[in-house]
Amino acid sequence: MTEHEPADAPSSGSNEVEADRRFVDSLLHQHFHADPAANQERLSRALRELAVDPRARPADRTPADPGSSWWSTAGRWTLAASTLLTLGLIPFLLSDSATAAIARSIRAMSQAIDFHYELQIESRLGPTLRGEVWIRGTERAAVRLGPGPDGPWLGEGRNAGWIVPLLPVAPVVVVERGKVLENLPANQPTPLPFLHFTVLLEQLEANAFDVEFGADEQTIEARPTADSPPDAPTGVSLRITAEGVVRELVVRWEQDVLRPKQVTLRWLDQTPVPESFYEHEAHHDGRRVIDRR
Amino acid sequence: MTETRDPEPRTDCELKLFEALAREHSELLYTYIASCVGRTSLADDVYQDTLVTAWRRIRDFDQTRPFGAWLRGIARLQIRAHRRERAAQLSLSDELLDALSTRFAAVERQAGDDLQAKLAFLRQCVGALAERDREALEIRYQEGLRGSPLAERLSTSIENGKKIVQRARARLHPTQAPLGGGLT
Repeated sequence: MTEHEPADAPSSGSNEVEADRRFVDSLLHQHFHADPAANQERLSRALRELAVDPRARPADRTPADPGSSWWSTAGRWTLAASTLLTLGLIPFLLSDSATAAIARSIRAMSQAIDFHYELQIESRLGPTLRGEVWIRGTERAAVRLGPGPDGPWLGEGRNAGWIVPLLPVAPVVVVERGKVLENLPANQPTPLPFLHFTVLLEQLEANAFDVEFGADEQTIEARPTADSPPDAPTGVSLRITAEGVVRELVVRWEQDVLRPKQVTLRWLDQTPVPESFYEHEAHHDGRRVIDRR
Repeated sequence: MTETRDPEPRTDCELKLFEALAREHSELLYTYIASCVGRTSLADDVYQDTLVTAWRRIRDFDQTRPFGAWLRGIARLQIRAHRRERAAQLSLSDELLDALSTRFAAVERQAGDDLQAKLAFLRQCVGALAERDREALEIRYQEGLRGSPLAERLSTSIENGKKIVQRARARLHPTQAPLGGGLT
């Protein structure tokens, strides 16, 4: 260990100059003399300290005010990511960079970013169905099926799930949250709107898939095993960004005639849409009958 | 640091995620602390106290802010506490701490999974230096030499050796040409 360098310090100067000197000095130390072992030891020491902190014990109840905790707002996918981290079942997750990528992606997905995907459902019997999917964080989603802007639309809003049929005279169906997208063909094993790669990995793990990561750590291939459910897809391909955003998801059913042949989601952009976009009112004229179920 | 409140017990889920975040920010946090107090045992103490305090206060963390900036804020409070105890050794103004924090925030914004990746711009800049400058920095930082041994390796006087290192460092100054747009 070395002290700062009084011998090298300028004889006079402002805080800014001194800050620049210390800053560059510190970065150069890190660049020329990086010591991963020392860093790991330092971190481990601190984490050991946390482990003996009485507040580090697992809680036997949920926080009293979930809304006040950023961890709580992370919701299901935080739990999913944590499960993966805890289990350490997937070799990919053993690398520091992968762990960091998960942490980063969790934060990215917790922000109000609208991820816009192209949806393609290849049928065995008819033409390929095309549409678009918008996902905000973990709680909002809107899906347009069909080529035109009229939809039909379905989604998950602030308080409810909804379906706006293409037929203008048909009622808008409003149901409890989580119910609508369960029935989307792509929703096995990909529980939209939780299109987050940690969640997808957990789903694959839960369905006893063999998961293989590409050398670039951004491509993932998964296949069912003998322990997978009989109606499980025959293959799942996933491409993610370095930040953990799902760039492309392909789910295939090669044998199951009751399922589409293949469902593909491709990331288009992240152009913001208004909050109201995730509510049914934005997708009809407001005069339609509401059917609450 | 005085504990003002102790909210709910933390869950194992929270601990695992905190560990992941701490791992991601560990090197940059330590580098920031070292820039403030030097690479001494005090830096280790501040680093440890920072992570422990961050863990205890994790539910106060505002998710709209970068985690690294939050950690540095806690580290700054720790350093201030030490400054009160060791005024003679730590002549650090709040303005200097703020200025350093701003600079490290710029590093944090660089692309890369970890600090080494984020310092890619620095590697490029060091690579672009004149051989003599690069050699001086390698001797100074890689081998840890200074004063007379450094001057001998550079075949110059002690004073000149010091100036060569200063000049090479100045060429890497973030606001000067060699770094270009690397840091803003």
